[in-house]
Amino acid sequence: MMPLAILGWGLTVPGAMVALALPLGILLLSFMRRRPQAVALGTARFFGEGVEAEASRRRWHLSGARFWALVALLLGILAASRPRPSAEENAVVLLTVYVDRSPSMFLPMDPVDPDGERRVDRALAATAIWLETLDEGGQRAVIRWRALEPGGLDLTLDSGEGVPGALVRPPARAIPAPRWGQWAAPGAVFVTDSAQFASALEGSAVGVFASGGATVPGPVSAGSSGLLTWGGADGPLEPLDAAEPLLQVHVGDGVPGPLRSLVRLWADERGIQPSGGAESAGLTVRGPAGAREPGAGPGDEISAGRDGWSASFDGATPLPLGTQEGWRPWLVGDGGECLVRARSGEVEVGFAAVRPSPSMMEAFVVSWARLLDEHLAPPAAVVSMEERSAAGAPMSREPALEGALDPEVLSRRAARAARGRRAELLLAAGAAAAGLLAFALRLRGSG
Amino acid sequence: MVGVRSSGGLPPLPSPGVVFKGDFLARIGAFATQLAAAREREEVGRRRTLQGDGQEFVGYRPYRPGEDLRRFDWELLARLDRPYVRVHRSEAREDWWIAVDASASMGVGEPGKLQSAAEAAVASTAVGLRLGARITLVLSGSAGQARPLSLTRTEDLGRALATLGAAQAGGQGGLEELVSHQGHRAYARRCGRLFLLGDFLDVDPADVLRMLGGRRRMHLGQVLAPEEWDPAAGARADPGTSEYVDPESTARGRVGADPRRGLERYEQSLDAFITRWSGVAAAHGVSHRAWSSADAFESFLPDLLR
Repeated sequence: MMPLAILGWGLTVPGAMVALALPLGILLLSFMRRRPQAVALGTARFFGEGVEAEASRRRWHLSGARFWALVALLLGILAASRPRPSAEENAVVLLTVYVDRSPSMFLPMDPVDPDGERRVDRALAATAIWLETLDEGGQRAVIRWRALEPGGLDLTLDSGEGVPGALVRPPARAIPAPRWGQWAAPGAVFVTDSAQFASALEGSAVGVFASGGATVPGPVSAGSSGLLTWGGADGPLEPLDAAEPLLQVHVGDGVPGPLRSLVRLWADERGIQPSGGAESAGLTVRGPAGAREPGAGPGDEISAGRDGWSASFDGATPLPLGTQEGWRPWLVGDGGECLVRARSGEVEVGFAAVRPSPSMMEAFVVSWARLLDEHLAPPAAVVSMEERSAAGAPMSREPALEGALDPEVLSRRAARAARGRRAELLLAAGAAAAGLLAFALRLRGSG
Repeated sequence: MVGVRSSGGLPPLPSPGVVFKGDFLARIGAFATQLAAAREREEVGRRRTLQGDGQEFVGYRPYRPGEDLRRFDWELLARLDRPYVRVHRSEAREDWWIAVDASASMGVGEPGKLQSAAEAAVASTAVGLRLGARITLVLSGSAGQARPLSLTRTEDLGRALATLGAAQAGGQGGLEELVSHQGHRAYARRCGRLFLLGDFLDVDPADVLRMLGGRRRMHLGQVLAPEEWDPAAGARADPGTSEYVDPESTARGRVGADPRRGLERYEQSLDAFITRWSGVAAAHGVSHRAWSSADAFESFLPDLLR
């Protein structure tokens, strides 16, 4: 902060200006001492007219030594106040606001009012209030909003443009709680419900806006016959029968026949009903788009395996290997082709036929059953017990803006700091020179 | 008053009063004896030269130590066994008018000008009384001081000491007030000798000279303080940083940015002032003597009384 700024320069240590009282006092004392001593003299009339005028001027005359001493003090005080060029107008602050999209964020603040304000609303409101203050003081804040979910929102806005509406809508599928440590960087702001991680990031200068929140009892698991509800920290876990099937599976076209049979067996065993469409299904297994016929060409057969089994795959249409939008490769061929990928509620296969090794059939079935188990999405009302737990007290911690400045601004600021240091050195040198001059004049007796 | 501004806030007078020190009476006695004897010698010489012994004899008076033995009446001593001197008309009738300036400007200096003038007045009174003169002592200043004091005998010297010892410098009334006062002027015209003791800063020579006439003799004793003679030599203040204030007119002046030049200008003005008075005095046969208040009266008074 530079509360004193004149002609584009500010004082880093404005308190040093208090020392101005010293030269000011010397100046006043000097004038007081210059005040003439009145002496009674009957012959006072014999002093001339012009002399009086000169004497009046002389009253404001400073001796050389005293003048240079004052100059030395003033320069020294200015140097001690560490002058720096003032911060430029409209400096741009770049902030990245990471918004937690885990299910707990969409729980109500008040457990008895399920339709009331949610944790995400509370946390974003606190963030918005702080962001509104950023444009004051001659700087401009640019906010990059990032929803922490696969393929989530990534939008850059000015701070005055408010919070993107997409952030208050829950994601299509359950998103695990973020690992905040990987996002800690200058200018980062975390919007979440629980600030328990904040102490670990104390020194990182990131901002944290956490809503806090009480325990929210409710469904924590879903089975074939109903829900399992949690009554809170001291409450029981109770089954709740459902009027209609809660879990459904949909097997899309293009899924090889053996795999389709395997999915049906897996669903029967768990009481999961088949679904007519992907929209209502907790799990959709789909084949490759535009699948090729098995044996359509040489070199189509790909070998792959995992969990103790191996198989040959025909009509392969390799899937993307990346992790965009929450996809994760589950089965990769010997040549590096992605044959199966999955995400919550979805499994996609990239082959037209599969021939598992007969000796490894059991391992093949168990491995696939585990894949389907892991990616079966529960109903929207089901939130894990961990997510429903209390989020603690709210927190509003602003990030350090110094590190969030635009790199160009930072570069200019460094240049200004260098100019300031040079000015400080010059002032100190000037003070020393003026002090020496004053001392020399004093020794010479002209002061 | 050119180049001098007036305003309030007067500095205190360094020596407004008069203090006669313990040895002052002894000094007065010795001085009066010595000077009266010298005056008598001169008187006798003048009578012999100009008038011979035929001056009118008016009587006797007791002999005082130090008097000219040529005026001693040996026959009376033999007959009465007591010393007497012969008294002639010229001195027996002489009245002295001693006027002392006690205005504010006389409080300047250490010792003060009023102190020096008072000492000179007492010494002159002592000499006059020793010579048998009738003396009227007047002071300017406050109303109490303005009342004339009539002294005819040596014993009256104590009254003169008391009056002058109680004098305080103050006010604007100086010698000008005394010489322009109708009563004082009327009385002074009957006196043979007029003594004016002061700084003469407030009075015009023409006003003083109007008191002359006939065979009346006038003695102008002009006293200035050491710092008035030389502001640079005064120990009380640095001329370069001092503002000099006339305690009567409240006029102010300074030496200016160039103290040497300012002091030269001051000295020239002061010299012209003193020279004017001495010139006027010489032109009219008036005794004039200017001195510093630091000077002992023994050093200047013989010349003044001559």
